[in-house]
Amino acid sequence: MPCIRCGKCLDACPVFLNPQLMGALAKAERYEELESEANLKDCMLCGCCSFVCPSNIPLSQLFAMSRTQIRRLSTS
Amino acid sequence: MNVKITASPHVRSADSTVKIMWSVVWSLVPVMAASIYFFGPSAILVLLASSAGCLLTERLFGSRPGSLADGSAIITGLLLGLTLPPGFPLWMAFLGGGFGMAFGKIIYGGLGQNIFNPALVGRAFLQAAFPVAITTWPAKSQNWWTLQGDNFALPFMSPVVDTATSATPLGNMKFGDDPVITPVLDLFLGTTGGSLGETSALLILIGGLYLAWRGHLNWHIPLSIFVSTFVVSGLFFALGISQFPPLFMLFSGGMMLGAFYMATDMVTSPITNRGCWLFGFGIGFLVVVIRIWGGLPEGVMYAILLMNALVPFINRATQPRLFGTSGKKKKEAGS
Repeated sequence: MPCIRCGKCLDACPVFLNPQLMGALAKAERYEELESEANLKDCMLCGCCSFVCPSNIPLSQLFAMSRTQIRRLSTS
Repeated sequence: MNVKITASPHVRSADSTVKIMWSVVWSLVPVMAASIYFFGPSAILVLLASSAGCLLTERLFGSRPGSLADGSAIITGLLLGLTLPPGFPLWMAFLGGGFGMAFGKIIYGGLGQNIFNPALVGRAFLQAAFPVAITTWPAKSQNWWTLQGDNFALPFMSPVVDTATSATPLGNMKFGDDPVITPVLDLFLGTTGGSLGETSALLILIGGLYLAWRGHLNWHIPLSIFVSTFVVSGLFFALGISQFPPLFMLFSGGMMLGAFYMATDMVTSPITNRGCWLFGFGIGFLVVVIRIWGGLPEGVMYAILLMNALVPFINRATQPRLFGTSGKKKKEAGS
C-alpha cells in the first residue's frame, strides 16, 4: 500500500524524526538530503515506525539499507 | 522451510490502511441512514450515483490493480453524495464523482499522492458547472416515498423543479428577507433543510468520535476547527459585524461533516499535530470569513480546499524538532 501520510510514524518515533519524509527520500534514493535534511544519522533503527505503519511500509529496513548504501558510496 | 531474512521489526501492528478506510465507511452508515430517513429514496439514489461515478473511474483509471478493495474510492463517493442536495440530478452526481476521482486523485498518482480532497474537488466542480442545481433544496414532502426534486433529469437538460423549494438555515440567514436564526437544537438533530449529510450534527459527531477513539482520525483537526470557528465568529458577533451567532456557525451547513470527514482526510492534512492545529485554525477562520463576506452562504468546502493547498508548506514549517536539539542549531548538529 502507498503511504497515506497518517503521521503515526511521527508519533511513534522516540527521537522525533520524520520517518514519512525519510521513507520517501530513501525510496527515491536521495541520500544526500536524507542525511542533511532528514537527519538519517540520528535514527537508531528501533523499528517503531515500521511497527505502526498501517500501509506496511518497511521504513526502518529502508533506513538500514540507505545507511549501508551511503557508506558504500563514501568509501568507494 | 522458507525463511525470509529482513531487518527488525518482525511483528507489525494490526492496523492497516484498508481497515482504516473501511471503518470510515462503517462510521458513515448512521449518517447515511439519517439522510435516507429524512429525504427518502432520493438520498439512496444520489449516494449510489456519486459512489458509482467514483468506483467506475477508479476501476478504469486507477493505477494499482485491486485498488477498489482498499475502500478509498467508496469513501470519496459517499462523502461527495452526502454534500449534495437530495433532489440533485443523478447524472450530475455521477459526473461529479467521476471528475473528483479523476482530477482530484488519480491524476496525481492515486491514493496518497493527491493534494486536494477528491470529494471536495468533485463538489467544487459541480458547484461551478451546475450552480443552480446544487443550491436547490426542495421542500420536504409529506410522503416518504416521493422523490425530492428532479432526480431523473436527462443530461444537458435543465432540471425541472416543480416542487416548492426550501431554504437551508445558512441561506435563510444570509439571503432571507428578514434573517431567521434556526434553533440550534433543530440543527443538532437534523430536522432542517439542507444537503444529505449536513443536517444531523449529532450522528456525524458520533461517527467522528468513534473514529477519533479508534485513532483513525486526528482529533486535533476537528477540535481546532471548532475552536477557531467559535472564537472568530464569536468575536465578529460580539463586535456586531456579523449576524451569525457562534453556536449557529458550528452546527449549520457542512461544518460537522467537513470538520470530521473532509478536513481529516489523512492524505490532504498536515502530518504533525502542530501542523494540524495551524490547518484547523486556518479552516475555521476562512469558513467564518466566507460565510460573512463571501458570495455563497456556505464556505466549508472552499475553506478546506484552500487549506489543502497550503498543507505542503505547513508540513515544511512544522517539522518535528529532533530529540536533543534546540531547533536553531539543527544544521550545525547535522554536519
